[in-house]
This record gives sequence, C-alpha cells and structure tokens, in this order.
Amino acid sequence: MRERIMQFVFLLCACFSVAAVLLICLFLFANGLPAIQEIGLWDFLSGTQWKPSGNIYGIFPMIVGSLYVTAGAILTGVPIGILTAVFFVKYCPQKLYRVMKPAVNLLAGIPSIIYGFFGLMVLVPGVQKVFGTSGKGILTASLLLGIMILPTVINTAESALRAVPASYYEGALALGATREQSIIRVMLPAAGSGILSGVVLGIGRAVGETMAVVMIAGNQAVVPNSILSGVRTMTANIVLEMAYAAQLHRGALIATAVVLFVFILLINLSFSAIKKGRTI
Amino acid sequence: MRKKWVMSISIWITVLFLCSCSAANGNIVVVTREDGSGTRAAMTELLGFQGREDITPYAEVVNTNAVMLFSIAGCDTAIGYVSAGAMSDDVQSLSIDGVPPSPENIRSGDYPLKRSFHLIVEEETSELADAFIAFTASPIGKELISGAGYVPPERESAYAPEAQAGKLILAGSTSVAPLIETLADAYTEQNPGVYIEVQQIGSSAGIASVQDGICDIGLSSRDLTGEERSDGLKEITVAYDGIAIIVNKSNPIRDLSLGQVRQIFRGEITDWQAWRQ
Repeated sequence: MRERIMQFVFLLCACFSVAAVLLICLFLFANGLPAIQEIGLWDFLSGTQWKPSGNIYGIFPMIVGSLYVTAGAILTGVPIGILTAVFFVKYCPQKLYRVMKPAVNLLAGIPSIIYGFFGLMVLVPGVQKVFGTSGKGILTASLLLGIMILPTVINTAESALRAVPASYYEGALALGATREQSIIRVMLPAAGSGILSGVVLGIGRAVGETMAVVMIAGNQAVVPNSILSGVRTMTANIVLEMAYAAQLHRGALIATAVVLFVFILLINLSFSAIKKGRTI
Repeated sequence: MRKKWVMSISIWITVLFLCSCSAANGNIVVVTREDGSGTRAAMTELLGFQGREDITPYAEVVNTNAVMLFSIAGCDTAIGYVSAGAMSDDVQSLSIDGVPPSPENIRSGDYPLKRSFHLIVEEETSELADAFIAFTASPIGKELISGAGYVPPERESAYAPEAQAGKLILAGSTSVAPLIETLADAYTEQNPGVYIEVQQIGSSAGIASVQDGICDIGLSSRDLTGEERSDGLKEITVAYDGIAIIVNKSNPIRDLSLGQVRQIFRGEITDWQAWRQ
C-alpha cells in the first residue's frame, strides 16, 4: 500500500513537467497562430521588414540573425571547447584539473545578464576600437555566445572522450602513431557522436539566449550585410518589444516565439537522433 | 585539400572584415528606442514622420533609457534621444535650431521636441485618485515636477492633506514612473494613511490596465488613441517633457536644425563629415 502511494507521488511529479510543456505549447500556439494567420505564414516568415508602427511584420531578418549569431558562436566556441576537452582527458595534470574543471563549471553557472554586462563593457569597446564601428553586432554576439556555450561543449566532449575504450588509443600508439595523431585521427572520430550532441546542445543554448544578446547585438531588424553589422535575434525581438506591444503587434511577437519554439524542437529532435545513432 | 579549405575560409573572413571596416569609418551610429516605446512614438511624431516614414531600420535598438545613455557614452559617432528628465552628464545634449532643451525653452515651446506625460483615468475616478491628481497640480506638486527636470502642467488645483486611507495602484510608462514616484513619496509623507504602488510596465500596458480595472491610474508618455478614448478613458497632463537629442561628449557638434535631425534619423545623412567641412 505504502509503495503504491509513493509510486503515485513519483508519477505526479513526473506529470508536472510534462503538463508544463503541454501548457506552454498550448499557450504559444493558441496566441501565436491567429496572428500568423492574419499576417500570412509566408509573409511572416519571409518578410524582410519589421515595422510594427506600420503594421508590417516580417521576421526573416530575425531568423537570419539567430542563424548567423548561432553559427558564429559555434565557430568560436566549438573548436576551443573540443580542444579543451582533449586537454582535460589526455594532457591535464591532476592538480591543474582540480582547478580548471570547477572553473569551467562556474562558467556555466554565471547568469546571462552578467555575460551581457561583460560583453557591453569589454567586448563592445574592443570591437569598436579594432573595427571602428559601434561595436555592437554579429561578431560581438558570436564571441560572447561562443564563451557561453563553452561549458556545454567541454563537458559533453570530455565525457564522450573518456568513454572511448583505452584500447583505441593504445592500439593507435602501438601502430606507431604519435599522441596527437591517435587523439585527432582515432579518439575524436570515435567520440564523434557524443561530441556532436554537445555541439547540438550548445546550438540550443545559443539560439535561446536572450538577455546577453539583446545588450550587445545592436538589434537592428534588417538582414545583416557584414559580420560587423547589427543583428536582431528572434529572442531579442520578443524581449525588446513585448512590454509595450498591443493587439496584432503582441500577437506577432508571440508568433515569433512559436517559430523559435519550432527551431528548438528541431534542435532537440536532432539531438535525440544523434544520441540514438551513437556507437559509444 | 584541407589546406585549400582553410585558406579560402580565412581569405573570406579577411575580405568581410575589410569591407565592413572601410564602410564604417566616421559613420553616424543612430541609436533608437524599440518600436512601441512612448519615447520613440513621441520622437517620430515630433520629427513630423508621416505614414510609412520611420526611423531608419539600420539604427541600433535599445529598450531602456539607461542602455541608451550607456550606448551613446560608449560610442564616439553615436546619436540618440532620451527624455530630458533622464539626461545624464555622461552625454552631450544638442540644441535644436539654436535652442537648448532647458526647462524654460520646453515650457515656452521654443524647443521643438516637447511631449506630454499623462495620467490615464476612467470617466469615474475614486476620491483617493482625485486627491492625488489634485496634488500633482498643486503648488507643492508643481515644485516637485520642476525639481525633477520636467515642466509642470498649466492646470492648477488647491490641495490640502485629508485624513484618507487606502491603496492606489499606478502603472504604465517607464519614462513617467520616476517622476510619479517622486510625487508619490511626497504625497504619502503628507497622507500616511495612503499607500501608493507604482508599476513600470510601459505606456500601452498601463492604459490596458486601467481598462481592465487592474490599476487606478495609468501613466502614459503618449496620447490616447481615438479607440481608447471612445472606450471611456481620458488623459490628464501631469507634466511636459522635452526629448533631448544626445551625442557622445567627444563629438564637437552642439547644434543641429530640426531638418538635419530628421534626416539623420531617417538615415538620409549617414556621415558626420557633412558638418566638418
């Protein structure tokens, strides 16, 4: 009997998060779809102008913006992350590891608004000095997001590398490969799917990041024409204008959230697909 | 094969950097508030934008006065705008057609970028709300408004503390709220029985809250729309505010004509060089 009660309690807790997801879906689609219908799906997704005051709602620049910034974050964050993981697994002395590992984990715990301040105070003036622009834009946002996804990439890549059987590495060494060769040619490919799932998680974080990006991206709702021009991501679009929005404008912002939600959904699906196909 | 890849990518990135760099030097960086903000609405209206005309989409967008000030202070070539009451010493305000945004010039209307701060109420107001609204136009209230850097309204009302008790909720514009908080503090000091809560949720949300009966008085930095008026709301002007055009302190320019400001924010003038001949 007692076991039954506890079983029920566990079930209830498990249902709670599922219910939360369903309610969020319901809210998003119920509020967002009417606006999409009113604007027209194609006009909404492919429109290059966002002018709420003129009742023009096209989020193409924001979709492009999210993609650019995320791609930039992957370009800066992933190589550094993977190489850090290699260092942790194969080269790092125990003493150093005990300092560096918590430091990486701390990086994951820093609130994003603090990243934003860091970006505004350090990265923006830096980019401004080097390139002579206002300093806010794709490059700055990519650099900052690259730092923000580091812990995700490092931790998943590290555990993937540790899961590679020692015989792979030793076998490569025994065949006459150098350490570097056996790591890059044997271990990294063997841990490939694990590392890739870390990258996908990182993409998820970068796409969804809001507070830090809104402070340093410039937020122009136009399709960017260079790596230095300002950019508005979908998350930034929502958070910038939600406070003052009314009627169709508000609906269009929620519809932006629907598109973002679909993006995240796709990312999660590909994450589970990678996980399913992984060999180690 | 792999080397070729690395080469081509690095060449691409270098080319991208060079292009954007040469195009950017000396360019005016226009900073604006987000669409829907009361300050932005007032700005476009005062600049005389009509119909489809709008602030250039290439302008940087920030969503608070504070980040606006920070962005201007941090960028040599930036230009932006902010409520005169929120001005800070970190940035330089410009004269428009030779008229600086001082309280006297805003009151007299010589400074062209002037807007009103409104209290939004329904036709029927509670006694508690009436008393507070009267306070804002009393001599004490007006003194507080001038002290905060704004221009008090023309209307005048007598006010004396009464033995009232209750709670007033005021909600709306983030531009109006700081002024209202100052007034509310002074008011509750004289009327200890009254508790006033000020929520900063934005003009439109504040107006909607009055309609929904969630708050007693809405705060708005924009005029009511015809639709809102026909829903039985009315506006009471609590103060006038100038919109200061601001640039970085290192910028030598101190004066622009209204037409030039218009052209800059339209994106028709994109280089400070135009003035440096």
